[in-house]
Amino acid sequence: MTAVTVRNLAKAFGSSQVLRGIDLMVPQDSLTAILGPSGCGKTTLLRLIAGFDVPDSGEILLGEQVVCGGSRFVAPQHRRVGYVPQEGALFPHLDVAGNITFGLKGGQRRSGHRVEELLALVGLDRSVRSRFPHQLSGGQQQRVALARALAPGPSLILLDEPFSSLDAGLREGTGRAVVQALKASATTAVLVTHDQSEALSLADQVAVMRDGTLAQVGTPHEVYRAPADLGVAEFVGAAVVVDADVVDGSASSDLGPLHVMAGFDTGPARLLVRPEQIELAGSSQVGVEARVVDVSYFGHDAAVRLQVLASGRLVTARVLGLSVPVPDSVVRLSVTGPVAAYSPGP
Amino acid sequence: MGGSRRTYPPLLLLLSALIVLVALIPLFFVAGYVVSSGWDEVVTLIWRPRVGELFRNTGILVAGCVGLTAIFGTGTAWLVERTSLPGRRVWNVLLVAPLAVPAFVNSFGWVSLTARVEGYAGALLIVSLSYYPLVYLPVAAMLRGLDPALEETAAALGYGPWRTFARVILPQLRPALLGGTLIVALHTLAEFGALQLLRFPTFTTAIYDLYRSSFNGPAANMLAGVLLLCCLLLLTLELRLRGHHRYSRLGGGSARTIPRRHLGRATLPCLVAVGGLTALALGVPLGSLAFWLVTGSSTSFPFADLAATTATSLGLGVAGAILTMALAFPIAWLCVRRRGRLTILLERGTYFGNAVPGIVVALALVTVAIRFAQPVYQTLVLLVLAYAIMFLPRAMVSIRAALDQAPPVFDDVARALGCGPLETLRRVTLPLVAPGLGAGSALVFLAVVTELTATLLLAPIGTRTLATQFWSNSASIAYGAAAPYAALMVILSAPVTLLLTRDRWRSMPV
Repeated sequence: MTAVTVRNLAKAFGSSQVLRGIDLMVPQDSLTAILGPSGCGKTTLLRLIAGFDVPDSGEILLGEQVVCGGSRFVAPQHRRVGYVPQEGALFPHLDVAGNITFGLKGGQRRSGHRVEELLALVGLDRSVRSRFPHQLSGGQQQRVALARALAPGPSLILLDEPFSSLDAGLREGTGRAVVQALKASATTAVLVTHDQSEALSLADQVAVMRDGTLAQVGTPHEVYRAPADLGVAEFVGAAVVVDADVVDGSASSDLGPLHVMAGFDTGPARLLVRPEQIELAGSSQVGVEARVVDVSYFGHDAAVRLQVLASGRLVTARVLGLSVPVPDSVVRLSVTGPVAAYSPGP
Repeated sequence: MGGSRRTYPPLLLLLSALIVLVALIPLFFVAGYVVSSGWDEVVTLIWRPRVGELFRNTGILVAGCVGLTAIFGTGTAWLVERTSLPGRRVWNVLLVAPLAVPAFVNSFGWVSLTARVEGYAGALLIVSLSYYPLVYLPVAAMLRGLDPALEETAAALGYGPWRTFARVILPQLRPALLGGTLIVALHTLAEFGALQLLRFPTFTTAIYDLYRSSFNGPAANMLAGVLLLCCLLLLTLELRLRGHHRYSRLGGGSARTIPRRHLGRATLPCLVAVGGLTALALGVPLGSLAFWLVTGSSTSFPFADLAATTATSLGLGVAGAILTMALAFPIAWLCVRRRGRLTILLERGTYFGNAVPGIVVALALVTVAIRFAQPVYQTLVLLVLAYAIMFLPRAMVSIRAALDQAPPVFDDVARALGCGPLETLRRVTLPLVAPGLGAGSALVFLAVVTELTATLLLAPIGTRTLATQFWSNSASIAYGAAAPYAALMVILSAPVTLLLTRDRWRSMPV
């Protein structure tokens, strides 16, 4: 079942075309991340789904119901869509319980219906229920904002960069808690973010947006390992691009032999190598010789910048923190696993 | 709101433009008058020894008041915010409290005790005592918001306390200090009642005398032109300043530990200084009022008359507040929700009201009404309109601050939670905006109730307010009879003034 269907959506503000030809299907009970750099139109897409703005053309369906398309437009208050904006936007004149019950009908609102259940769902202690927003930390505010959006039991939750204002340390924990709450309440969600690791780690489906169009929609694994093009590849993660001739699915390059993914057989190609595919060995005889330029050590892992001795090319390898080479030493590198290949283009 | 988020609603824009045109009537009036009289007439009317003398008087008074209020305001703000002065909370209230006593009531308090305050020295002292809170408020807010790390850095670099104050703190206070003293300068230029009582003639009092004694229209209008020019000059300065520096905004609101200088043996002298200032600025006028209330009114206390004038003043205050807020709202809304070149221009148009002395507004409205709108001449409509023109900038700032409390994202959230536009207004926008609108209305109300100059010129015959009754009594040296009216004005002003001592309202215009 599809919770959201977007067909050929377009929107312009004045003379600037913000969105064009957007097609997107969001499966029921899943989390879809719309990933893109700032200004690519991802927030506009979210606002169109919510009903805050009206598209110039195209269709939006929530479940089977057309909420926008042709002459039909359903106002946001009738769409049963939850919305969690940046920094939460908790109503400052209401306490936590008042915020959470805001979207409930009169009687349920006064009885404080479901407040504790929802607080537990988003991983907050019941003692916060009578606090006011300014007494909460950023992460707590985001969780209350999610509880508020979940309270009326919406069919869909829209999250607009909900973690971007949080400290790096809080971001991951809050993200996890949000995903768990969404799964536990079986709620479909669309998350807008510019943070690659957030999109890859939280979402079931990632839609990569670029200049107002969707460049690729797929699972996090597909988007990372087999990006639609090199632009997506470089946006989603660090990339080493190697030009080589592919013959029968393999190529030889200055990084050694490369095994190309199925789908590209023979011809000149640009190959995508991810830094963690580059393996280093100290003294073995296999692999290409390279000099260690410098090392950024992160504890759990390290980024090692290397210069290939034969070609002079600079590449970055990501290795586990257990075995980090010393700068200026010479190591041998080899590429493991298949690499994606792209036509060199005109 | 739909997709119209980034366009101007045409009707609202038209309405706002009309309001701004009304607000600019005084400027059109003066400009039109100067142009129609011709250059020779302008020169003969302005190039006179009397005008030169007025110019000198006004200049030395404004310069003196700026200097004195800067010293009073900065000194007390530093003592309260940055030292171990005992009783800082109480001093904070007491130092702002003189704003509840209109300058003309303050000078009444002094001059009814001794005639020795008449003339330049007395005027300088008394006007400065009335207006120094206008410097104190922004400087104290700025001091509170300063990053303590800067002073610590200065200390680490080997600066002593005095050098730190002069080379680190003072430069950062400059915007607040200049902004505050410019407002003092504008108020001093427009001040009428206090200076008339102290017999120190300036442009404003001279315009009034010319208009009242001989109905000498041309001379009064020409002086009004010169006065307006001075005010516009100051306003341009202030605008330029503000362009570089927005209101100091206090971040986060979390309690930050500000290093306080330990006064030690200087505690007593500092207490005496702050106490002395408070005694002069607050104690003398209030004490004098109390004295006249007891001795003067013992024979007959005109309850009926007091009640009637209070009712008139309250009614005018309410009407003025409602009209001013209603006129300011569309423009403020456009400025906050549809910021653009056009709306900024409209905002500037209303800001102009800050620089127009009440006397110029009154002269302009009298002339315009007589010529183009005879039926409203000598009616309350014209008076309330004058209030609206004068106090539009205050209403604008309050409404803008209030609307900032309710950004559009709250509308979005409420609608996603199932609220229609009306329910959103009732449950979200109004609760968030109401306190700010209330405070703005209160500020305008306070300004109307204590307004003297325009009221004297524009109040229809038979309309008696607290300010005009006070004025006619004190002008005829019936001090005892004047005192109850002054006391009522102070009592009405006190609650609003207290509001200004709270952090939230510190940046409110006064």
